[in-house]
Amino acid sequence: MSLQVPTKEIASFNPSATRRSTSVSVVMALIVTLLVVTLGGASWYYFFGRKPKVAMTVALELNGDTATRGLWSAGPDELLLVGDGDVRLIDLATRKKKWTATIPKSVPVDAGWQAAMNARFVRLQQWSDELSHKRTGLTGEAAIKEFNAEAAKYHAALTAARAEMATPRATPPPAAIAKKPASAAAVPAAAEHLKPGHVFGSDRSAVDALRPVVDANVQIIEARMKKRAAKLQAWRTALDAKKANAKTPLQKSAATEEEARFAAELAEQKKDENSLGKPREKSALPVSVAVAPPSGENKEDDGIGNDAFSSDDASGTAKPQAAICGDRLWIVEGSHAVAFERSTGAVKADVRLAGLALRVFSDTATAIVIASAGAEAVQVVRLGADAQPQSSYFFTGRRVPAFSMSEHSVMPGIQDLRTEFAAIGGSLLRVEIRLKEKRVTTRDAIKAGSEKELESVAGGAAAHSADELKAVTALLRNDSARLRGETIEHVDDSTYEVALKRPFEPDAAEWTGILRGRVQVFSTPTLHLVTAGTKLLAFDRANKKLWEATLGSPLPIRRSDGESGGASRPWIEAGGRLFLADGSFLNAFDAKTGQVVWRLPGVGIRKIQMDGEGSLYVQSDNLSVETLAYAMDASLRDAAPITMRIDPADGKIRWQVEKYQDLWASGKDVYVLRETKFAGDLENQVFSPGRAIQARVKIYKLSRENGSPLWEWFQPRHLQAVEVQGKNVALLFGEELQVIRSMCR
Amino acid sequence: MLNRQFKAPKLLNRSEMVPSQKRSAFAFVELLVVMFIVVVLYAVVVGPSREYLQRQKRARCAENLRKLHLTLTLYANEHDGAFPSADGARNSDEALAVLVPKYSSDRSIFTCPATGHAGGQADFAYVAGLRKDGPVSLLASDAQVNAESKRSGAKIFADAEGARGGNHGKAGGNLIFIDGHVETIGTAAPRDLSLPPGAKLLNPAK
Repeated sequence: MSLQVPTKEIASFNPSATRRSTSVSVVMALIVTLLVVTLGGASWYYFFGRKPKVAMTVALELNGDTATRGLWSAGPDELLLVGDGDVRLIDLATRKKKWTATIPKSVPVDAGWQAAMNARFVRLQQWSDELSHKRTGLTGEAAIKEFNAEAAKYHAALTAARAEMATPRATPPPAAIAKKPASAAAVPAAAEHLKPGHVFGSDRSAVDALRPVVDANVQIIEARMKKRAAKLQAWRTALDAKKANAKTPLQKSAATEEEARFAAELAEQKKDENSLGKPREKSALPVSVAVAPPSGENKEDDGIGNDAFSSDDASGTAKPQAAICGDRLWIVEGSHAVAFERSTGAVKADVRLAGLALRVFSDTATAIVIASAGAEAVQVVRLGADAQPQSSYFFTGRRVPAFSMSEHSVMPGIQDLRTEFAAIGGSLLRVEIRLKEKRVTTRDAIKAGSEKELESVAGGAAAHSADELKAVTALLRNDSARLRGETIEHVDDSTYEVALKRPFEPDAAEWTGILRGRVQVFSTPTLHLVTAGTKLLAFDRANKKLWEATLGSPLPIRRSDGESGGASRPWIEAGGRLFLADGSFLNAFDAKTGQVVWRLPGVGIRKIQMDGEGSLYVQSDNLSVETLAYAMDASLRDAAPITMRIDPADGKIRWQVEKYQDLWASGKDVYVLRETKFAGDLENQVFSPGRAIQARVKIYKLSRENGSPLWEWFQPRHLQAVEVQGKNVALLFGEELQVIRSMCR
Repeated sequence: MLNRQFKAPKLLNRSEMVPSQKRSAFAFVELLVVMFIVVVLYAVVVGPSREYLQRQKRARCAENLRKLHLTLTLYANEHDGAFPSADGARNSDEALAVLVPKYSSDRSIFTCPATGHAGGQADFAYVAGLRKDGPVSLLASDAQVNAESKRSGAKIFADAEGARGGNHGKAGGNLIFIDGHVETIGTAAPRDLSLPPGAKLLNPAK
């Protein structure tokens, strides 16, 4: 029997051919894999990668007080969120909250007592200044002896004031207040005593007499709240027990229903709590009247604030401000500043202020808070990481708005004495601006004959066209301004004596000079800048004038650089250059010499940002040049805003795009915002609020190369704040913080 | 019966054999109607929109002149009130070059949008040798037909775009004066626009 070998199969078996076919298969598999990976990658990029995604959200109370919320960048990949009484540090890298801490409530202090203490400290500060002045001119032993005696008195008074300040007088309970009858005659007497110039501390009868005046509504609400709180507490306990014992579906359903009723009652209680703050402001009226300026003034905020101290300063209704100082995160809210440890969120300090915080300056080590200490004084507090807070009081002069709309025209707010502050890190500059010669020039605020131009445009445009509508609207606005008599603008052309002082560096030489036009003060990382009219003066930290330059036109009157987190500052210092937008030009100065490098004509520039690559981005309202002369002419104000990328080296416009309203640049990325309003939305808000879209907000990411949009993110709700860090865009809405992130673009 | 059922097919002539070819063509009248509609539409839509664009360009041109006035005024503020002088300049472009970049890094403000010269050479005529505190006279304008003084009624701008001094063609052009006010005029000077002594009108380079 022989072995049957299939000869055909043997013949076809070729080891090298098998290897080749295996290699082909491998290559084919590789190609297919590569194709699949490429296609998959491309699909992922198309559907996911190129568009932003929600990286994380933080829920906030839907009906929370939006005025008490704030969002700041706390460092690379870190966000600081304040809202609903809590502080949250958010890590953008891990997309998680690092910690959440509760802001301690500030201790309510008797308003009258606080006002008296503020005035006392202001007087002590003035006394101290007088003593310092006297010391420089001491001659003879008798004078020295007299000086020493006065200095001893001063120190005794200071020690006594500090001791009294250390134990603040709490707000008396409403029941105690109600016992004393309100006395109308007490108010004028108190007003007399609270006048600046009166020495406080010895006679407190007038201040004590103020306390009986309390709004009866407040007491009613407080009593109701107390009763309801007790009822709610009992209800809660009963409800918890019911829920625990509920076994049948019927019992569970009943418990759920009761829970809903409880929630409604709780909401009502919270509403009452909120409303309590408002009548209280009224209730503090006697104190406010005594220290506040006369009625008719101080109705607008001039950037420093104009609030007299009242008991409600402590209620935390003021917008919080943050100071990021190394490992300390200071939150300044209402009339106290709280320090949180960056790593754990532990409360490290709680510093009581004389009144509402007006401005906050900070650097990596120090925060400086300017707080209201009455209508004509401020408290300046320097907060270090470990050192005790340093505090000084200054008489600032009555704070009035930079301008006001009077019955017939725009009036500049001219004061005999005004004080402005600016800071570079821990170095605070106090600028005293004293009126030397009052001079107000008037000019027409509406261009003569502009109605003829508008009528011609309206007549020439197609019926019902956008042009016709614009022209007619402008005509109506101009007519309305004319009817109100607002056709004249008054411009402050007064002469001021300006003195630069350093509250925390007494040895720094004082600089004084005479300037014409409204004085504005601000600071950059290395310079203190003072402008008046078309003059720009730069100073160093020792009050030494470094250089002087000419501006194209005066700076538009703006709020201080301490506001809005500095986001809307039309100035920036970078790369040894100062970029500053005045009324009509974007100027690039050499920061050391003040030499003009270039100027770019542009009216209405309101924001300058620089990205990580050193490109300059500018947001401008793109106003007509004529708006510099005719402040109220509606026909000159319908330009579309523009966003520009500018080469900081030569001032050349790389690209410019229209329609966007705000701008943020960070790292290599630039984002813009556009909010549109539809007439239908407004109609819905009135007739069917449930269906109404609150707002139509779109965030765009722009190409750095040509300004074209790379992606857009639509949200149908009001945006309260935006913070940008590279590819992360944090959007603060009423009910949540939303962080979006684009991975590729 | 048979006679009734059978019907000899009708022979078609040549024109009846290709009826579709005939029906697909426009009749002369139809063509006329279409052309008429097109012309009417053009007149209704394109005419006004061209005029609108012209008006927009003229407004933007005036805004550029105002910006130019801003930069010239700033220059004068820093030069004892004197605007840039001619100083051997052969045209407005050379005279205005002293403004770049210290008074304007953006050359597009020297151009008229109607000419389509984006950021290139100046399109405006400039009167050199004036002072900020001098009497109100013409400081700059759209390119003029020549470099001479213009009396009332004299031709100042050309009728055709592309022609010397024809930035806006028949629409005329813009004038800006020392005090910063702009006048939009036709192609002839509405009043005496004579140059003050010592002043020199510089047109843009050809």
